[in-house]
Amino acid sequence: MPGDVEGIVSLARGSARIAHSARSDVGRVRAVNEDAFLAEAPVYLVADGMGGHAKGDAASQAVVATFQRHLESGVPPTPAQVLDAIHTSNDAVRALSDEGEEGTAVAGTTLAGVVLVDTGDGVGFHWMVFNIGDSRVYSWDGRRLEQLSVDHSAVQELVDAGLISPDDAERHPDRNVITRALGADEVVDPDIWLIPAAGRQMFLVCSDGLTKELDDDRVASILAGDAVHAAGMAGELVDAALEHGGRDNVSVVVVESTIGEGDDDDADATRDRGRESVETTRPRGEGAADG
Amino acid sequence: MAEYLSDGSRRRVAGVRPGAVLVVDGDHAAAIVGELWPTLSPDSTTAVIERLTAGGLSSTPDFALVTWTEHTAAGAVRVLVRGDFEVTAGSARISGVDVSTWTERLLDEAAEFEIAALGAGAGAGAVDEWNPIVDGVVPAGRVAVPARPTSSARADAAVAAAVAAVAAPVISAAGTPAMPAPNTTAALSAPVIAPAEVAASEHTIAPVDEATVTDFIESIPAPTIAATTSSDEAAPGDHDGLTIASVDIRRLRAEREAAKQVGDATPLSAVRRESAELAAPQPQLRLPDGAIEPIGHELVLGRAPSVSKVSGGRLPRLVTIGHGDPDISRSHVRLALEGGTVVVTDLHSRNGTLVVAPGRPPVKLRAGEPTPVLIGTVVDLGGGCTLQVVGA
Repeated sequence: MPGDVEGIVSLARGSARIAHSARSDVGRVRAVNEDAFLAEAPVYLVADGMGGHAKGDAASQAVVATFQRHLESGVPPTPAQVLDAIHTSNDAVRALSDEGEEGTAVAGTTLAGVVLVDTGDGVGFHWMVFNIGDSRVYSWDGRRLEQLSVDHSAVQELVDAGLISPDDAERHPDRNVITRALGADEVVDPDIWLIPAAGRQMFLVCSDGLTKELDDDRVASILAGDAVHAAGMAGELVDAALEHGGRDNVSVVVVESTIGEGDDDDADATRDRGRESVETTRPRGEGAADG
Repeated sequence: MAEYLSDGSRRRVAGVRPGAVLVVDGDHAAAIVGELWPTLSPDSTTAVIERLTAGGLSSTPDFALVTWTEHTAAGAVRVLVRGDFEVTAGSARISGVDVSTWTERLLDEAAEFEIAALGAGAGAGAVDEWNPIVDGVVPAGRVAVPARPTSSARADAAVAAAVAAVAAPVISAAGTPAMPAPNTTAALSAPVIAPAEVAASEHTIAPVDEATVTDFIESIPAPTIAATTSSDEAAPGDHDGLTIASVDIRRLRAEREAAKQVGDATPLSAVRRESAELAAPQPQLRLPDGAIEPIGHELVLGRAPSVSKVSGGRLPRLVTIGHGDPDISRSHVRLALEGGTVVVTDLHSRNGTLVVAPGRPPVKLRAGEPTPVLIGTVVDLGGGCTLQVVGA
């Protein structure tokens, strides 16, 4: 795809080819872009900063700098190293706030991303998905867009509690209220997913500037199309969000990885949807005939 | 404090320690008990079994081992009996007769129990007298814990005294037909060298922490928060007055923590409990290839295991097993240490998971239901893929 940057990550057996496109835009309303992203194989993340005195952009950039410092480019880290980078980022963001500062003056940022990690048993590499706040990670299998991360937001809690529907959540006046952020607390509590890395997989990492302008169907239809933008698929998505209003900063990272080509005899691995994996297991006793 | 009845034949020797009593029969009883006595404790079951079975099953002496946790008033009592011994605890009588290996049982309401050697000579020694013992090794055919309230030299009245003390009838061992032992043939379906530990019991349910504690409705920000934020709108940098400020987040979290405290599931105490567990010996898992994997915090095993939304920064370790075997699901089974107990959960696998506790028939796990198991339990994923929970 045009605008894609390709990175190679060496694995124990073979290597992973990871192409990505990334773009961040201030939008049409805001004066400052408080978003930041990092897209260097094998680390792809988006941070959406907030806080007074121009600390929002400092917060999101502090996260990117911390990840760059902590994780070596081109090498899959361990999940523990990624967690360490998240916790160190939290300290870095907290350091931006002065003693005794409260309210909007305090620096904070969301963080959402995917990192190809080495889970350590010599067999499995996994995509580690992490989330704090309301930036999002989706997977895209060419047909279906699936939201992997779960927002830490007030409306998500209302949805979880069954008080409002997901559709209502998109229009709710409190939809910008988040319940977790880097820098908000001494200890940060990220949500983590580990998805087996195999075959061809695509992820979309984005700030809420994308998902509050475009619904999932619109995002999926763009992903299903061709990218002609200079910034690749990320450029296409950001453009669409700007056309729709661009009321917030918009940041998008699109990741496409190919692992173990030809070396993967596991037919269902190419249709990897992580959580629904058990479906592909063959029932005992029936399998012999099916082959 | 315990009490014992001297064994005149001196063939049976009892070792008594706080939390554990071991009685062994045979020529080498004194040597064996003397050797094991210093290490007897509520947690020494494995060590005792390993020592007793060191020469193979055929040369394993008859024995009775009872361990209990002292700090629980009527806590769990673990009973292992082989051969001509019988343990009476409350209404339960556990015998080793007619069992090729040994009988294992976990009782949760037994506050008192008595070990008795069966057969000739039991309790019929030269000195028919109950003596108190706190800690030590003595030739004894019968041991009662705790000491009978009416300790005396009444030899023949001992049984009657026991009846009075135990409330449920304690039947004198001699001449009493042994209760049929629980079916232990299942132990043979486990690896024969395996049953180094104890049978599972439904009484060992550990408190299962919700990994993701439900957030309380109360903690959901009411519209007043947006209002608060809006009033601060003048602050530079707050772009839209809708994005929540850190101070609100902090307050929300405090409220949530407070709510969790009420719910007795505070993450802090969970952390403390986990750090306490770290000090104790950690159960491990023997993988199909013989490798040993510490269970540590949590393991997820399968053909291509994955993890979905865990919070709190502690990740399960992923272990790939049964590579290429379609009988094994991608994420098949989860093992975790919860409150010091190993808990096995079948992750809605296609072909299910069996657990085989030594001395028990195999049990199929209900999908998604955390089930506590004891050390020694074999976890069968099918397709010849078995795991075993072993001690550290």
